Amino acid sequence: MITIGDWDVAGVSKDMDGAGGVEFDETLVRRVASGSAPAFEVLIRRHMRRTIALAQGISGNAGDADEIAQEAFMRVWQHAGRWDPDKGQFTTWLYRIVVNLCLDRRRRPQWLPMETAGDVADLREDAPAVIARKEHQRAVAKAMESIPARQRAAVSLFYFQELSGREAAEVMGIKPAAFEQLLFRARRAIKAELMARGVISADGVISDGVEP
Amino acid sequence: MTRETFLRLLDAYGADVTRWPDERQHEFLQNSSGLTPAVSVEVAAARRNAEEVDRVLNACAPLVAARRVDAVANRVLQQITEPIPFKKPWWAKLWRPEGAILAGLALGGLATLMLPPTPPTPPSVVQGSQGAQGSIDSLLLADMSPLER
Repeated sequence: MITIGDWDVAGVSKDMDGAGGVEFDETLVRRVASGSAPAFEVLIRRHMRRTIALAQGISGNAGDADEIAQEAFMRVWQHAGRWDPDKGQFTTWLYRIVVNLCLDRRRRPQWLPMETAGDVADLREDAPAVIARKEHQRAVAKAMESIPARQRAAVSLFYFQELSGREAAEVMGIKPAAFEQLLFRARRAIKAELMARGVISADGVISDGVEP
Repeated sequence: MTRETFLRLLDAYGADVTRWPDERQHEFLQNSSGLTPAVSVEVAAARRNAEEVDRVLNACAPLVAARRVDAVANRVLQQITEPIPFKKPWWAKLWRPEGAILAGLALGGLATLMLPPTPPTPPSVVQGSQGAQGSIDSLLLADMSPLER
């Protein structure tokens, strides 16, 4: 079995070809559509980390994110035959499922700082940097909690998943201009929260003394 | 590109111009002479501000531990390999003894309903006859004249 940590998620699906023993997403999804569990496992191992991260960015907590990622892949398994490669990449389809599942959850989000989600702290960091990072995470968590889910989705796709504006708009099923508007509003709200908490100042001078 | 447009793009996509949409990058590269930090203090502050927000956001991207990824992946794989519970059709219970009895009763009732109504039995002509054959003979003889007999 392939260790998930060894996978460069983005690289595998875009840079490799079938000749090297690594299959394209398109080939795998076609096999999944015909009921291949091994192909599905490769697909899961390749994309699960980013799927959970996206779900967590939007839903705001680890428990919901895990459930949403699980549900998203079950939908892939059940409806793989519906994916049309001519209409976009597999990841676009997968992320759209995740975003829709997140938006369908009407519950109030609890956007928790990352360290509470079971992430391992980097012990090599010195104490002031760790404290500053935690303060930033709390501030971002507070800001993310305060904005609408669609804006959280825009931030998650663009900043956390590092999709381009066009790709992110495609995932959300909106035009690039509408996506820009969502991102603009979200970032404004986040910036205001960061300023209010003193994480950044109005002129961009770092308030906590940590080097950029 | 106007200053307002530039500031708006900073507020949407951040300070890294390479992450802006292609057409916006092109527009910026074509006409950014008035937007350099050296020229405008406002632009310089906005850029620093945007860089800070970028840095904080990038540092706060959700990190997912490998064991957590494995756990969710394994749950999905377990879910798809579990046999789908077979849902018995409604008629399957008829195979059970009580079902068979029920079906028998139902069929019996149906057959009874489908039978033609029984005609009324004619009154007996000869009382105390000695069997069926005797009765018929008696009936035939009863309608004959003494000469025919």
